[in-house]
Amino acid sequence: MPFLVQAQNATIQGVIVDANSKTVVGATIIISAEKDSDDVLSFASSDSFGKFVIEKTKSQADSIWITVRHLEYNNYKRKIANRNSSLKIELLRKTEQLAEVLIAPRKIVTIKGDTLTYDVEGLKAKKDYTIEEVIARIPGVSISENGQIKYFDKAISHLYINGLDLLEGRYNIATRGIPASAVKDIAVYKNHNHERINIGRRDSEEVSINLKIKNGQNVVFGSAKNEAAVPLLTGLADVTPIYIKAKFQSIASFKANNIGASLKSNGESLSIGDINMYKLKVEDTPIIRPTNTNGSVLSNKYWLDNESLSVTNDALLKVSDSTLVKFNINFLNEVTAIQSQSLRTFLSGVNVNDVTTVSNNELRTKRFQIGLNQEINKKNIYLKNNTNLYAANDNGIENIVLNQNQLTAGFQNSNVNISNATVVKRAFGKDKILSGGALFQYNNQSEVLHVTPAVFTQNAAVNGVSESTRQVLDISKFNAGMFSDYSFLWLKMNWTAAQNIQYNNFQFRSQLNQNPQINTIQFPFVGDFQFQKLKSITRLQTKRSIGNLNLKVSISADFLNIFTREREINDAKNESYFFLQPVFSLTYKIKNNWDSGFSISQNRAVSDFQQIFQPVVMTSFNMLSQNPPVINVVATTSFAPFISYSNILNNFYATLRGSIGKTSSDVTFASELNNQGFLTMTVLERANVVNNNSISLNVNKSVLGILKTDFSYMLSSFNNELFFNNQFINAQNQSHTIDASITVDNGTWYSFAYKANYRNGKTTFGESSIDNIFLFHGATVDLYAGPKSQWQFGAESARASATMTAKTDVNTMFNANYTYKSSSKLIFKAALLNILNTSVFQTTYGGTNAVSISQFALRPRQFTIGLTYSF
Amino acid sequence: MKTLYSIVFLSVFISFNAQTNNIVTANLKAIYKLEFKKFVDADKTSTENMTLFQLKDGATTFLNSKMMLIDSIQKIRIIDVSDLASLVCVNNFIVQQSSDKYHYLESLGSDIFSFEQNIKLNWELVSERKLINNYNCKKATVSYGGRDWIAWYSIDIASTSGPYIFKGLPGLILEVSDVDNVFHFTIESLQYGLFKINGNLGNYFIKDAHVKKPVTVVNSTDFYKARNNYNKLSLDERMKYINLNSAEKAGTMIITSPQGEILNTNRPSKVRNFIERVE
Repeated sequence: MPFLVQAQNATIQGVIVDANSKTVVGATIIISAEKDSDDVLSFASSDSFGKFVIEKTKSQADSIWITVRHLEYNNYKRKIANRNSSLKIELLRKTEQLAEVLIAPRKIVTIKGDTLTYDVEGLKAKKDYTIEEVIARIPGVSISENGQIKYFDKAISHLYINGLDLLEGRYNIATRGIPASAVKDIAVYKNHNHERINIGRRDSEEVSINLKIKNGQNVVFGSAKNEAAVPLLTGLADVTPIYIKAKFQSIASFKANNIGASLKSNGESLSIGDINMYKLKVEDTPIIRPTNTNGSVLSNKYWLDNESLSVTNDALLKVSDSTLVKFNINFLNEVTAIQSQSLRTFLSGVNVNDVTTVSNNELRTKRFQIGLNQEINKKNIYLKNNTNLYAANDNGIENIVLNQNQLTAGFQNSNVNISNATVVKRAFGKDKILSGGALFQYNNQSEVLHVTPAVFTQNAAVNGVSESTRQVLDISKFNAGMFSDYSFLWLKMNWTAAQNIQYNNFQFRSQLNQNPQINTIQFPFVGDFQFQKLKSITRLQTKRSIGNLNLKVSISADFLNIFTREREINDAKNESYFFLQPVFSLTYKIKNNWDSGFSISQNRAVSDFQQIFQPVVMTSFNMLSQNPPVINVVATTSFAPFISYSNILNNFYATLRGSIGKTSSDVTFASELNNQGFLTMTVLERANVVNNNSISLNVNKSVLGILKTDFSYMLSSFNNELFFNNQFINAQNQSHTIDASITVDNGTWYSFAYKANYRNGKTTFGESSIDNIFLFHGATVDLYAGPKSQWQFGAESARASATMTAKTDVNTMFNANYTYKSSSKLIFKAALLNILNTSVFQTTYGGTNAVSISQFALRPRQFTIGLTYSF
Repeated sequence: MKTLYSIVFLSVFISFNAQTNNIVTANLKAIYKLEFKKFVDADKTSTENMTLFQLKDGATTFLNSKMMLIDSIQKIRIIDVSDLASLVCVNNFIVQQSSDKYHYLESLGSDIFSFEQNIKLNWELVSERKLINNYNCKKATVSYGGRDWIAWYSIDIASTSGPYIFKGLPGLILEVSDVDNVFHFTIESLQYGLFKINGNLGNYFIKDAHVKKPVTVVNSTDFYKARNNYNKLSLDERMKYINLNSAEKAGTMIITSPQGEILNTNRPSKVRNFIERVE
């Protein structure tokens, strides 16, 4: 017993010195029972003479461990006898004492020049899983349903991963596939120049985002997800493996589901990414309206009846610091279906024509695409080449009851596109840049619409025994274009001189016939139309800043030669046009946070191919249309002023915009609707004016990490003269739109999000008018039962009414989700969607001379369970 | 009031020279977030960042991070009215410590008070653990200043320092709070390296453009009394106190609310919370 007391009360004292016998001040001396134990029995620190005293070791054992620690010396550890003793302990100085961050300061945002860097751990909320959800929390960022990221309403130009732009504009694969836990920080680059040749030579208004992957992240990482649901047996499987090394990046994505998530925006073509080249490109021109399988307003998960499969792979090889090669391949197979019905009320003076449509539609889309990009990005030279092959096939079927007539419409569209584009830029001196590019593109498109029983029998190739009507179109397009662009400094102003030349040669064959067809089909129901266009645009543009004033002026001289020939009637036209097109914009920085400005532009354009071909075409089961026999010239003038306030420190932004626009045309659209709901569209050679005015206010306020609010209001009005059912009538449309959203998330046990959209429209046609009101709300509440489990309750509700019917329809959808994060890698999810089993959703929309109320069917109540795994 | 004025007129003045900056080197810099309830009846929590420097000889300096900004501005120019909004802080004190001796400086109005004190903290080590910023931390408790405190320290960081006067544990204190959570310090960042700081402590307090500020040395009891008295003053009385040494007489202030209502500047102040609960 006396020994035990002595051991517990043993006093250890001593002095701590360094290798030169100099005393060490401020060392920590700890007594523990075990060598690697952090259980402290007793402790002391060395005083200004390096001395220490531990008066009681508080151990009953014969021996104890003494550990001495100091920031500048190596740890000292030794087993000593548990009795009164005096020690001299020598510490060895750490050989290389580098500055070290032991706990990094956690600032959510760091601002350095035009770069805002957000710390992901600081920004993300508990529920966030993908990096897209975290990006959405950055003040000013909005993300659309297809994954496009906008920063203050401007789409971002690049999304980099560790400084490399692997996916170009198709970054949603990355933002939806990369787990938030794999990313260290998100940088927003304002006024960003992707092309190094522009740095220091050109101002940029582009915004880009960089995701910096965590250092310790595996070379291969990503996420895998699967879900299964009943009573309708549905499921989802997603795998996004990502491979990131310094010189090679690859993102693959395998996705399949039938739970209401479209994959059409998953994996699109690689592009050249140059605005001049986009202007030269010829887009697809679907002439027959594709089978519609889309709902609107409401989230896809409630209505989209789909079977989707998508496989994509993007790879990037960094050949050198300035040379990149990118390759991508995408495949999509998607079947979508919808049941819908609509009441469309057309106004014609005092008369009102109703068209009711009940339809049951299905569309299969197959898409295959392969692309290669090569990029050399140096200080004085920039070169990019893009080659793309794209093939798509759509097959649709519509079963329709149109004003009590039963119809079936089959739709087919095959599209093959091959293109090669090259852009070269070269810097001369400190500020001059010459750029140029060339594009070659070939496109072949075949479209078929087959309607049973026969329609438009009184118009199209009359045949008394017709069983069905068939429209066949074949379009082949060759497009070649070149541009050059020279930027220079003159009279202390930045100037750009640009020249575009484009040549189009399109061949259009059309046949509209009744089945069986007895008579020979003649023009305009059969056509063989050739379209050639030579377009030259010479543009001179300058901008000048004088103090707080920024001026932009551009003028372009456009020359067009259009040659058309309809071989069936041997009718050829050859017309040339010359236009001078000015654009003037001025912005003025009133004070630090206030900007204002306006732009004025005048533009004239002539009808393109789609408005010129001569044959009559059945564009949908109930619409026949024919272009005017003349080349139409459309002149647009617009004036758009704005004033904005932005305060980045307080995260408050507001913009008030106005727009006054007037569009004059040489022709007036004429349409005729019969009692059965069939519409014939023609065009009259009579001058027409459309006035389009609007005013909008947008306010955005955020409190970083807690609150985000958006409010916008728009008043827009539109009026023009139409020729409808044999009379000229002035059509007016006016609408008030309010969008509001609020998100509260302070990182505690709950978060809340609410959005609302209100639209009040009035369509006036002559003496009659219809008001339509639509209000849509959506709210989500997240509750965190603990660090691992989360409940989410959501509701979306709409109220639609129009004065043409007495009935106001209110549809509300509820859903509940439970998520359990068993680890940072594995997430379990259970969900109940459409709890009330609401069967239809109603919406309303006001057009020029018609207001429609439409309903579409919703997916039935579903119970889903799923797992998400990140690796 | 009497105690306050007597301290002002009878104490010893030490003059600080702003132009001679005495540079000292620290090898550890820690930033702590201080969440505190400013007033006794407040529900709202305020936040300020505080910085701890550990010098090579083991001594420490602990001060409001905004005071570092004040020092850096005052090295080159006088602080003007437009700077004030971003520099004024609630906890405007400095605690300098070596061994058990604490040197405390705090400004009341436009005066800086200083006192020295020996504090011996009787820590009780508790076998509870938690993870703070990936550091394995252990619990310790102590009574100080009329409050019971819970501290979390990590023996993996070889320092016996901590925020405010809290020190003497076998590892750096990463978190410390009183049991009522009126004052709560949490580590925000921690760096090891060489940090040059100004050893001239007077430069961390806002100086008047014309008057060279002395530091009034008192004992701790008198200081706590003076601080309590000062914080009971109404706004009018504080302005009179601040302008005691001024040639011009302080005018009557009229402050209106955003609604246009004239505020009563002679209303007694709310009761402040201080770390030391001393009457």
